Amino acid sequence: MNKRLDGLLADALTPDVRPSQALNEQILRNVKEEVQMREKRWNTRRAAAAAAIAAGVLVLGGGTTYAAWRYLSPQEAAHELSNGTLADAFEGEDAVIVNEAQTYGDYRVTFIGIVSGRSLTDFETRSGGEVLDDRSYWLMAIEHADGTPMADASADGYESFLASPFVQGLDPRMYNIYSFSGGYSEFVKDGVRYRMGECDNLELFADREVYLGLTDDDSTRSIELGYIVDEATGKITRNEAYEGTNALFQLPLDPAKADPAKAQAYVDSLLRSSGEDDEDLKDLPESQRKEIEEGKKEMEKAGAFIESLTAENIDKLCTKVPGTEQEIQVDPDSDWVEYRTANSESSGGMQMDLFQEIFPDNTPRIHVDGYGLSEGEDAETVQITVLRMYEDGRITIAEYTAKNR
Amino acid sequence: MTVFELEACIKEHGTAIYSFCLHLAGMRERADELYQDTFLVAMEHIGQMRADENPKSYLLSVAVRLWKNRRRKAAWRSRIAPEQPLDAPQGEVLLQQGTPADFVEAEVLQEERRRQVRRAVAGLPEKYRMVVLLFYMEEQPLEACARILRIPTGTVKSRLHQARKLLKEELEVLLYE
Repeated sequence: MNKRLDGLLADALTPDVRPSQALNEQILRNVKEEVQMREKRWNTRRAAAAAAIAAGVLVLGGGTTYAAWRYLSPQEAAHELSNGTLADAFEGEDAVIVNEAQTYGDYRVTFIGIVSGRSLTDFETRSGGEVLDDRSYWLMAIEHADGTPMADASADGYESFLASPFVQGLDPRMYNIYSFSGGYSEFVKDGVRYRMGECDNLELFADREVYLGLTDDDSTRSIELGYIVDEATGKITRNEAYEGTNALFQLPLDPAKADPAKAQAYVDSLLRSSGEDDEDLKDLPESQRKEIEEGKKEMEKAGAFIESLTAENIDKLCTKVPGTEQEIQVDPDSDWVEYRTANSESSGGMQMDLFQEIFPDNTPRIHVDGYGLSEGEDAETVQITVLRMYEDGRITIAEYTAKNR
Repeated sequence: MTVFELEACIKEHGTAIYSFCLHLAGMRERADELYQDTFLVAMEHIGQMRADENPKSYLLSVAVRLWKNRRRKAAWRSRIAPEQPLDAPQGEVLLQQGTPADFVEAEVLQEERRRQVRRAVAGLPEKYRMVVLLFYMEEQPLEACARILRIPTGTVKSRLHQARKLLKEELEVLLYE
């Protein structure tokens, strides 16, 4: 019956509704206008930027640190991005210039400066229909530690990073650049990659420690691996054992600008938005809502069961689904590992360094790649996709189902 | 991304992204706005695209993010309120691709089946509808769905499972035909 349902869905949901030609033309017109506006702004501000650079050189003579002249200032970087209003903001008294550098792994990361406030940009950042106006902007410079130039975004070998603010007391896995409506623009100049990041105004949290982290892996998993949260204090530190780049800067925010009540309301709104799906349930008939809520409880139970699984007890607690186990071929020259069950029902992949973190040696262990509830003969059962290291060094992927829970 | 590249991108992925927006939003006016904003935001934040991500996945992730944010904003709802309401109930707009009279009998039946399936999908809670659209309509693998929706792969699996369960009940008659 499942196959029949799959067939019906695939047939009915063919993406065949074309947008109107007028709509496509409207998009292209808007983009062209935006490009022209940027060019215009850039031309009118070029003279001012030149003057600012000249002033910077004079300051250098007065004893500016090595880092300060080596990199573009936030004002210059903002001009590079054709954002004159942001450049002006970085010249204002609310801006804080830091120029702190950290080198971990293959990269040297410099946190150059930060500014927060309302209407600090020429470009609207929208979330849905609403303009996000109260924001923090920060500039980071990223370089290869060995001095070789960074590749431009359009070149081969473009490296990915995740730069994110974190807040003391808020789990960084949940509260990060994504939840804070963040984004960034970047460019490469003289072999240095400049990233101008932005997110909702962080000053709300200025009575706690607020951080800016950067990892050389743009998956959110790198946040989990790269940083440690002190459960007692909520403070966040670098995980020294992390192999790679996991820079962490403490942001110099003015505690006087903290607003604990507003901060709490903001966190509550994030929680509500992450749980917004529950709102959808309100409109459903009681029977369906009950079923979904029961399904949720089942998934929570399944999650607890998954947590208890180890290489030692998995064969006792679960049954391997025949015809699914497939040995994973690891190509040592690749930075990616792909795997697929023998029946091709489940597949996945992950970065090699993460894979090696999960299986650092030949010790038998398991890694749950995913799980869900599926209908068994009599009742629902937990179906689990497991990556497993055996004593002989083989690593396989297979599907398992839970025995009586 | 240059304007030329954007034009090529619209040509290649426009239909897929528009279909997704329409099934998600349920009516043309909202779909037009979501579709347009998706490309404009994608153009502005193209640097956020992962190196290993294909443009279609990236555009879908932008559309999902915009839609989720948009639904939260009362302001947006009030802005669209003055628009002319659709005569057809939500979901029906998706189905106007030919009148039954244009088809021979088998085709009419087939189209009626599709209509029922689309209506059932349109009636799913949004979190399930998104997974179903990404998986079945946009043919995104589970891992890509997880990335686009920013949820674990296991959650995608469980949502698909729940969605299929609801759809099975709704489409029982078709399944036993």
